[in-house]
Amino acid sequence: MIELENVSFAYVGEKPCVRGVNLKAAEGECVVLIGRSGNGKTTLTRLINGLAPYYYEGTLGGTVRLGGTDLAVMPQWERAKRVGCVFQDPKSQFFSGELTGEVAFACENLGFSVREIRTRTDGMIRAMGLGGLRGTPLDRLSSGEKQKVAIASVRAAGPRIFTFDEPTANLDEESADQLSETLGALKRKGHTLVVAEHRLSWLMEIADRFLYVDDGRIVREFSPRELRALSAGEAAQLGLRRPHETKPPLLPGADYRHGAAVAVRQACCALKGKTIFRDVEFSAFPGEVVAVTGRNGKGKTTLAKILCGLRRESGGSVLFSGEKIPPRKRRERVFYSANDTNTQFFTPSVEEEVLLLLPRREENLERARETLRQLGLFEHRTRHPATLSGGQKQRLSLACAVLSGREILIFDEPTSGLDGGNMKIISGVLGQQAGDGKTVLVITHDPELMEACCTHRFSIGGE
Amino acid sequence: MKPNAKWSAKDVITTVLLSVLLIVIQLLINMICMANHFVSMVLSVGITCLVCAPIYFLMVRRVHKRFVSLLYMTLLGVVFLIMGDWFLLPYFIVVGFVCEAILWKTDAYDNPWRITAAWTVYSGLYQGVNLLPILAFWEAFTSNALASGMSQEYIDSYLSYYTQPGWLAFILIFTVACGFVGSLIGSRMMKKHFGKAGIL
Amino acid sequence: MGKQDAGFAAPVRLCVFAATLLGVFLTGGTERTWIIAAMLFLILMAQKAWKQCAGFAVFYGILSLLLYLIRFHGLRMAVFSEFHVFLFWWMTPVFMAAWNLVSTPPGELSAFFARVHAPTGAILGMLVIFRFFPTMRAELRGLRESMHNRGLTGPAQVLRHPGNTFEYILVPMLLRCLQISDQLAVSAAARGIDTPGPRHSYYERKLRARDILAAALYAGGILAFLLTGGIK
Repeated sequence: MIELENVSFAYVGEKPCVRGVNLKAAEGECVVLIGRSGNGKTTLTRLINGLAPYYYEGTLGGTVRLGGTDLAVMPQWERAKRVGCVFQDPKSQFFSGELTGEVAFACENLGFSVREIRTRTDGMIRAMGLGGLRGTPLDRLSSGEKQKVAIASVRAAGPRIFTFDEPTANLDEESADQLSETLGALKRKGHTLVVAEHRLSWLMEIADRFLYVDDGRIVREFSPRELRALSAGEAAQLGLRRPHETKPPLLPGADYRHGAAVAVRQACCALKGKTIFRDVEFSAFPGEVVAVTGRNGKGKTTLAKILCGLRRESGGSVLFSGEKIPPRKRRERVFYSANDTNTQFFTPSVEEEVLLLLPRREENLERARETLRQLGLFEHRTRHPATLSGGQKQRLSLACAVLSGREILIFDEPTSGLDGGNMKIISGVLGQQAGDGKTVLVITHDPELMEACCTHRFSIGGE
Repeated sequence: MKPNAKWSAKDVITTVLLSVLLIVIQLLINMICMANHFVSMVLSVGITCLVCAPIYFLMVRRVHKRFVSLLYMTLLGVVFLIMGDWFLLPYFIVVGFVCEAILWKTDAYDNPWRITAAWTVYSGLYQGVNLLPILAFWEAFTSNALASGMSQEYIDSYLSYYTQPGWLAFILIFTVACGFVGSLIGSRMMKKHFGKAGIL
Repeated sequence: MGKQDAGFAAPVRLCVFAATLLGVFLTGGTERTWIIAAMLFLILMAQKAWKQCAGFAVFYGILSLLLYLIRFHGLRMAVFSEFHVFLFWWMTPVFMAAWNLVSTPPGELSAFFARVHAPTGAILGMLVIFRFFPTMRAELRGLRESMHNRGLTGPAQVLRHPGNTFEYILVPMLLRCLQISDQLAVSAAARGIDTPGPRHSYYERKLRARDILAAALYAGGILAFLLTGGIK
């Protein structure tokens, strides 16, 4: 089905990022590309769907064939009919505010007749079980549902091949499991799937082969069994996330204790008349890293926003070292690093970003240098934050939190979509901050992160 | 990228997104300024031209194709049409062609001074938004106002900014200056952020 | 009939808008434009757009009251001049027709565009306009929150460094806009936006009898209005 023969690729003005790759994938096969960030996995998926070099310009060597036909002789729309592309962030790819229009979009573009567009669209909505969402604006769907809509839209055009570029980077555990089911169904229908991904556990049941990509080459191949057999040490050395279905570690609960750095008692929150949570009780002392877990929509992020003063609790009390502080003053003590880093940076360089509003004293500069070194950003200190990769942006956000000098640091899913190496760096810094007497709260689903640095756990809305 | 090259889907999307952003900001400022007729008649256009200049710079430099300005100004005209000022549509199409003419030279899209010139001229001509409706609807309004028992004097004082040459000159100079200063800010912002981020 | 079906087809809304413009601008007697407004209320009601109807009724009611006070009781406006009151009152029918036009579901508008063989770029642009508002709302919220978190929204900071504040808002917003437009463009390319040839749409539909009737009645109404009231 897919055949890459001695393929290499370099984006315009850059060094080659794919070198001499040979890859074959048969019908009904699911191939997963794994390895550290920035090693060419995404580019490989783009080569298969033709976005590189026909959209992202660059020099291509070797041949890419789909079903025996050289990609180079196909126009872009022909490729669009054969390969369905699913990307990282579904919400910024929608052209329509509602389900039907979005699912029909590819078919409309490809010049199908009205009847065909309708049959395919309605059929796909039924087949993917999305019928119940017809009346809901797409913006209100959960990220998992959005990803499903994105898949339905490319699938409606009838491709035999699908490429996925980090499809779970913005998904929680539950949605990743749902995505796993969707991919399983595609595979059973005989589609060829190529997935570039860091998170591995959701793929273990579906994948036939795992290809380890390093420096633009496929250097190792694992069967699911071989991958499972990797020891934690070996996985870490390869920069991989753990392939096993890991249960989160058993951690002591972060129950309400008087006089803690943050203590929340019987707090509840309602938004537009809808209760988000009620009777939330927990606390955290300096030196602790508390994992805040809970299902989607249970109000983890809302709780974090209350603690940093972006929202007001509707009832109960929120105490900081035993003191009541009005929401607008909470910011002075609490730093909140949101999951979405896209709108978090304001200055033209990494170093200015971490020093924003800090007095330029030698001690601050020294601390900034040290933090940047520790987070592997020192060599990038003059770069514009917009040019950083996802993992680097997460680390920069962490650096800003560390240097803010605030006592309580809250992180929202800091490791989602990151490889093993980035996860390690981040968990290391979180642990160290707690060691320095900070109080750290981290909203997370990531069992590896919890195991690596969390001391307590608070589950919002029960298990 | 050559300014003569064909427009791609990405160019269309970028131009439309940034144009809508420009238009929304302009309308918002216009609306807020309506509260006071000195601000609305004398200052509002200048303020919008100052604020919007960096966005225009980014749009022109990023898309880097001919007819970006024309497309943006046509969209702006269509919005005014939808809001009832239909004659502003042909007016802005003409303004669009004027800006295209200023940017016609092949290397103009990389030349901040050319873009500054285009935006500054646009700023001056943007006063049409205030002047043309008043001229066009004036008759209807005065007949209505006189029927409402307002004195001609009162009506004239309302219009004083646009009837006294001194005020008119001040308004035009202020607006053009704002557009120019905005362009300088925009040009600096391009270098400081967007050039550095490698997206121009 | 559901609310979705009650809406008139795109060409009808376009025709209503064009007729409204002609009626409002050509009429010799501006006082009589309330007749056009009344006709538009009927058009909205026929589409079961109750919310819009109520909103415009309140808006128009307040303006009419102000205008009445200005005319017969010598009211003078301190803010928002008499000129604006009159202008907005006069323009309300245009606003209503415009609102009716832009509240056409994007799918139907694009279907109409496709039918009249508009270039794909125009359809794409139109879809992007409709996506702009929900997307920007979410992004602006994110931006406001991170500015708050970094201490960039305090009054002291904003007043002391207005230039910086301007930059802190504008730059992330523009960077995000470009990022979104790139992602949209890739997603369009990957879904065959460049396909040449005619384009059809899911929402393509035939004009129904009520569509034609509404357009004819409305256009006829405007014509009668102009004929009886005189033309400028």
